[in-house]
Amino acid sequence: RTSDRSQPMNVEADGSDCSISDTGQCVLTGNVHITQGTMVIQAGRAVVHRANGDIRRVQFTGSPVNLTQELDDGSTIKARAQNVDYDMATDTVVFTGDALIDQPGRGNISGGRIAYNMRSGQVQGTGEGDKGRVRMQFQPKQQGSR
Amino acid sequence: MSRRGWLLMVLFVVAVAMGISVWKHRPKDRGGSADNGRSDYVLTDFEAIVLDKQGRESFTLQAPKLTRSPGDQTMTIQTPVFFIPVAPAEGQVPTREAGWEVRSNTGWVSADGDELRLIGAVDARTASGAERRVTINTDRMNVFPLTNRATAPGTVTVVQPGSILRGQGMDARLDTKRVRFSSNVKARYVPSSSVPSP
Repeated sequence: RTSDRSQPMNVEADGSDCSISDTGQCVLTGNVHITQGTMVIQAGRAVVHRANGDIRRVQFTGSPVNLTQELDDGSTIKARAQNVDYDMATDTVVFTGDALIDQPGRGNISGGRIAYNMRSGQVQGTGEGDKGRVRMQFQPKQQGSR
Repeated sequence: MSRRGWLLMVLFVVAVAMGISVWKHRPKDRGGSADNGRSDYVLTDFEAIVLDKQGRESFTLQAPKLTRSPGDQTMTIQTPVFFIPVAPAEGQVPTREAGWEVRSNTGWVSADGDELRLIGAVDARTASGAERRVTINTDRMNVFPLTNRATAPGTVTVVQPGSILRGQGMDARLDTKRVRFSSNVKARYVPSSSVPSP
């Protein structure tokens, strides 16, 4: 949901190495589980970047990183990739490395790199390197639901 | 009395004589020995500034009572308050304003002041001058002032404006304000523009 970004972020992990000064980063390792509003992210490692005490950006790596989120219209998205870069300043999440975003009942997009803007809902996909391609799949609307 | 009876009598007398001799030669109680827990001096309502080998302030200690054990020259303190200066930046002279205030129910200081053991309601916080204070709470903490290091075996909670970090097995650097946890990490970040959860 667009309101997710202003919700508290709760984090759980096996280990951590954090700077507790205002602009330091916090590295979380092992079974990293993050929730923020309706968004849930699970990864092997996460680096939380802060400025003046506020989170600016979170970088995840995993095999893979899994993200689920509810959208404002009530539908959900499920996404996965080897790396996820969540930039809170621009409300953009960039998935790289065997990335897939699936919207059950509507379709999915996969490719080397997918950028998803949480504010506008826009999704932009590019292939992996020079030979990769983006694959998209749209589910036909149900009969009689036109 | 039979010959066997006489032999037993003699053995009994010898055993009693030996017992008396051992009792007479037992080590006398030398007043002030460490073993009986008596300290060689007691300070009350004091402030002590402990210096390192270069003569710089290692830490300052205020407390209502300190007792020193003559045997190992360690000190035990009631409700101590430690002021631990820290260098504001790499290469600068440690200052109290950039340092930490650490309180606990009881404290223990090693003979040469290089290790502080704090036990019971340990509360370490950046000095009052710090703009955004950081507070560390736990039940037991060991502080090594000369290397600016603090460790804690149990659960530790680190609170600063906008975030709460909790974990176990802490290893922290007081100068660079870096905290490592080895297990059970939980953190909560509340954005300054936070909207209460629905």
